[in-house]
Amino acid sequence: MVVGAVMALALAAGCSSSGGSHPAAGSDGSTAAVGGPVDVGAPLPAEVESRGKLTVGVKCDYPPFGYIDESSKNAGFEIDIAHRMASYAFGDPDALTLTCVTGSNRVSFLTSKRIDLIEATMNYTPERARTIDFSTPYFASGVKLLVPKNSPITSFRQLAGKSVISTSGATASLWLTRCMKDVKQTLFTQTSQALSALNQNRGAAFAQDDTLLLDLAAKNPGLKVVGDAKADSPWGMGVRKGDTRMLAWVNGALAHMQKSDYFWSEFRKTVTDPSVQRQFATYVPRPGRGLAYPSGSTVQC
Amino acid sequence: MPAVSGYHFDPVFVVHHLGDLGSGLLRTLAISAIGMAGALLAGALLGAISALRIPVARQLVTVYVEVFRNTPLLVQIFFLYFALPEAGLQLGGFTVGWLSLLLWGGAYNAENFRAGFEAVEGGYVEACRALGFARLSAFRHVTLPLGGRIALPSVANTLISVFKNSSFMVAISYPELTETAVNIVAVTFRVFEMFLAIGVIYLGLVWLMSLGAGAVERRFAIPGGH
Amino acid sequence: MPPWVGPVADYLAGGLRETVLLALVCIAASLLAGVLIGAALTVPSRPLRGAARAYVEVWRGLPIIITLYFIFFVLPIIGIRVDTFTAAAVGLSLWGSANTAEVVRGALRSVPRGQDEAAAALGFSWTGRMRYVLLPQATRRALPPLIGLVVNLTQQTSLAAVIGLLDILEASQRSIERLTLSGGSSHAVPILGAVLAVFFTICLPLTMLSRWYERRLR
Repeated sequence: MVVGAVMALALAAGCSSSGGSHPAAGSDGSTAAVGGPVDVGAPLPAEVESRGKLTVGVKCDYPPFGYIDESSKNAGFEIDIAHRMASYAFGDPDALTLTCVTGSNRVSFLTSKRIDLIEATMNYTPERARTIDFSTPYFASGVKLLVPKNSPITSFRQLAGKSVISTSGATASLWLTRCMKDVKQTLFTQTSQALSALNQNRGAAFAQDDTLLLDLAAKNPGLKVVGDAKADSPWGMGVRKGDTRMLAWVNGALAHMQKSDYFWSEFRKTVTDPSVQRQFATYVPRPGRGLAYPSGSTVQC
Repeated sequence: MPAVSGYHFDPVFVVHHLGDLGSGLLRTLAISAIGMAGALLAGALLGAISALRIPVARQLVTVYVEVFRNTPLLVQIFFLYFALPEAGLQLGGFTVGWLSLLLWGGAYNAENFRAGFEAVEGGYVEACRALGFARLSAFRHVTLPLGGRIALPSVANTLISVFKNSSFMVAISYPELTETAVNIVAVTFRVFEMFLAIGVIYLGLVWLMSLGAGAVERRFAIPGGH
Repeated sequence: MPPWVGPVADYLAGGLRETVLLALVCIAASLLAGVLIGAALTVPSRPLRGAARAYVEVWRGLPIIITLYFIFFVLPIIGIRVDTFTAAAVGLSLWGSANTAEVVRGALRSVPRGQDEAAAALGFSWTGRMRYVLLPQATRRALPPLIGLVVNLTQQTSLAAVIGLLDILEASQRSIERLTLSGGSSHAVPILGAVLAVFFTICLPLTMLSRWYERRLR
């Protein structure tokens, strides 16, 4: 009888074996020429070298930085950077394993050694820097609010006593916890869940990085971005605490990209709207002008 | 405990979050209590409808039971929370919490009670009818007490599962105990201590419930039966 | 057919393959380990029985989600690291085998004690009694609940989505994610409806089989 059960399942498996593919390293989006590895001024850690692949934790719900495109492949600004790093490491932009992480589990993925590197829209905070090591910054953003077009809310102050949507572990949530104690937070793990919740009026606003919100507002005509940026802080990649060799290599790779103005040219490819490009012109490191982390707490009220 | 691969075990940390965990636990208990009570009542009622072979109602019960028993609770929860609003019905996290548990547990209990009621030997019911009891009255005085006791162990099992499955609400980010722990880990990264702590809480409560179920079963054991 | 359906269906089909594979692995492991542990629950040796009882109580008592989080995020801290599929398979099989063990124990107990004693009087060892007297009879009793457990385990594989395994549920989530974020409708009703329908189609025949067999036993 059990054999019957197993067979029924096997049959079900057989029926469905057409089509479908797993999202792995996409072959598109990478512009690096295939060739030998690039010397970034620091050696690739032996552990990564012997594996022959770079394992990176990325966002899968964060357009235009890291998301899944229609062909089920990872795509976005950060994904392109990851491909570029793979080509620096192995001479092959696809020598890469991308793992979807969220704001609430990315550090656990790193500390449990499931990934070599976090590249997942992660703001620098001194609290995070106590648990992991940050690379040099490669982007910057601040927290704003996404609200319905007809909403009376224009600033953070008006949120007092209201329910606000955000995602678990995000800087937006940290800032609200610290600075607006009278706000009731409704936290989700995925951006789409938070967006659906906003559309279903489960909260007065969706607090998140301005970069994401601008993208969402552009695609959802019923929504707009308001508020002045809070807790603005650059994004860095994360490596395990004390993993100095990995950190040196990542920083070398980032410096290499900055020198060739890769970030800016890639950003303009990802975000084609010139007005949005202008808003972010100072948010990416360019030759001769890098970004820097703030020295004190980034979560200023 | 020494640091293992860079992780420093810090049990005191959990103490600082007892307040948050406490309110998470209260929400777990609230949705579980409503879900369990509802699953018990709905199960008994629907099981009776099946066992008594009431036309039409019985077929409807079968459809409900089969749909909810043959699909994963996690997908049911997703559907109630994220898909129903698209169809015009919007429910909050708390409502989806107890409702999904009630619907799921109710389906299992309907089946548990039906099996219990049908296991009551026909002779008892016939004797009762021969004494002039109406069909419904025979059910109330014979089938319900006897069959209910037969069903008790499996019903108790289902109710305990309802409690454990309240942890599925992480899927809709309803801040019950598990989701609270996940959120604390998201900012403190102390995964070891946190999951150890809530693991102990769940196990302790499940054991308490098992003890309670055992006591109820003994209290209502059919004398001379087994 | 609307244009969004094609890519979503492909993605879900890939997820379904993962779900089925996971279910098969978990069912096989749970039945194998569960029968052994269930038998251990009835041995005369106290320490062995106690160990089996502890195993069953812990893995049946913990919510599966907690077990999965523990294997996925906590064990690597002490150096035990497995991939997502293995973590899901191990977590679900711990739960499945503990439940199988309880079913097996109950079925073994349902064989009248006199038979066991008679076989013992005839000089059969514990393994001999197990093999020739108890197990053959217990198997018939255990089958309906075991099929029920197989159905349950198949459904519980959806929990693997919680630790990020790209099963059919996770595939549906990511599809809804993509459609929502690209500004259109999320199509959550048809997509989640399809996932429900797939599980229903797999599980209903098994449930009916279990019920039919149960009726035949009576």
